[in-house]
Amino acid sequence: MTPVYVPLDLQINTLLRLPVKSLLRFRCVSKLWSSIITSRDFRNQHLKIGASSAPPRLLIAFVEPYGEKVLVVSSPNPNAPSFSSCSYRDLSLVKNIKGNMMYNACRGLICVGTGFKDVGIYNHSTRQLHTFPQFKFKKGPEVFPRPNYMLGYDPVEDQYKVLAVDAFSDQRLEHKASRKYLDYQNTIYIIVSFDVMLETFNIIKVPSKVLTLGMWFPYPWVDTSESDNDTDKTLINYRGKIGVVENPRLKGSFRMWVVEDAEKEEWSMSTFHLPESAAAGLDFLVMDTFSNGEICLVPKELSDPFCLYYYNLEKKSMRSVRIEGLPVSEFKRAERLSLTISDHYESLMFSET
Amino acid sequence: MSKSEKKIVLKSLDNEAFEVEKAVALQSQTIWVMCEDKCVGNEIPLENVTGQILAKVIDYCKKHAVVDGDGDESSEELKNWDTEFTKNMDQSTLFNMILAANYLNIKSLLNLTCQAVADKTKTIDEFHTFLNIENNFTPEEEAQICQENLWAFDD
Repeated sequence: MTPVYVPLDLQINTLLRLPVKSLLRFRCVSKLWSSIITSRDFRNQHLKIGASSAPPRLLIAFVEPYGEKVLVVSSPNPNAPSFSSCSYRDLSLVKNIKGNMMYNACRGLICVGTGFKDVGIYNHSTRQLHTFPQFKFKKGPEVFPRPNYMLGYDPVEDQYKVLAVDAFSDQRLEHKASRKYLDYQNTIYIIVSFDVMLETFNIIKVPSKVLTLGMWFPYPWVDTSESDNDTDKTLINYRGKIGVVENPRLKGSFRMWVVEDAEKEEWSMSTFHLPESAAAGLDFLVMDTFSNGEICLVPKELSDPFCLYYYNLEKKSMRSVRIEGLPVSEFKRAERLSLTISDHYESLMFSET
Repeated sequence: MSKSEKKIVLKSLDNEAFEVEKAVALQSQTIWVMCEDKCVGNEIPLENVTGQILAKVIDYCKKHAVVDGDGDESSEELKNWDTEFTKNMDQSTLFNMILAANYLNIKSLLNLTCQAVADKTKTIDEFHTFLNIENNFTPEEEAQICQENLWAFDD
């Protein structure tokens, strides 16, 4: 075959469409390609194209804190509305990492706790784990619970930042929705948001009609006696606004409050009902909102094969997705377990050496 | 507008002439600019594209001119059509399509063909051959990069 002369910008345009795994291989094509693939510009462009051309992947992380085990699964996207069941057996994407906590995911990077109180950033697409050097808190972290961490991204400076919050035992932090968490100090309920770019905090008061924000219990899958509280709620990102969703209980209905205007303290509330057939007798936890406007629910009683439910807040409809091949039974035996599910993108971050 | 004004003739590098609807040809930004500036008559010479490739580009433009703006259902159909369109092209054709799409400035076709090459090309050697890229790594350097991402090399 006669080679074709393809200018470099068109070669790059092609490379931008390759998955991370292939790019890591194609660094061997030439020195020029290697330096292109590992450059910052390419990395950002690649993420941008990946996020706009294909639906995000699904990230599932099982964390067994006492077993020091974090299982991260990045699965092809089951978000397509027509997708109702997938037989997912490609476990080559499953990766066990040493760690005992998963905080949040941001632009393809996952913030994990490593060791006793340290924090690391794990890139599932390149299989690289970067552990931060130990640092001292002003007051020295309490022995328990450990500090809370959160990864954020500043698009203006193109910087990733990790926020560390020393969590005292009388505070509970919730960090599901990116950039926001709850502070349960005393009995005044507030939501604190952190601006990753300006590095400033903003406090939003939670009105009493949102009731108590409920108990946040980190390991609801196993120890149900302590989390048996029918007011437990999850913070979500609802179309860029802060939403607080009740975990749908056996009765099948749940409410959602949305901060419409933080300054005027305006909240809206809506009630939703799960379709009876789909949710018969299941006790759900809200995991996250997906980019297509659905919220993801997981039954408290883990099923094998693993089953996820998507509730569409606009259409008020629900569908379920089965993901086969996950070692669910292994985790069901765990003394404590936490589970994180979110949208996920492939990232080339820290592929340079 | 008379019938002749709605048609336009595209002439390839090897002097093959294609008469197409103006709406079809105007998906190319390059042709659009040429027509807008009135710097060409009804016949446009395309000196960088062979007749074989131009025929394929016109197929693509015809399909997309018909379906565009027909609503959601057809966009699914169009996507399937795109997949079929590139499915049986070999890499050499695809690279030539990329060059043509770039020259004619048809962004969606450029993205489609770049994606198709990305999906089809699996090995390092394929890129060396198709693009005539010289491997300028020493065996040691190459081994080191492989070593860094060993897992990426097993399928």
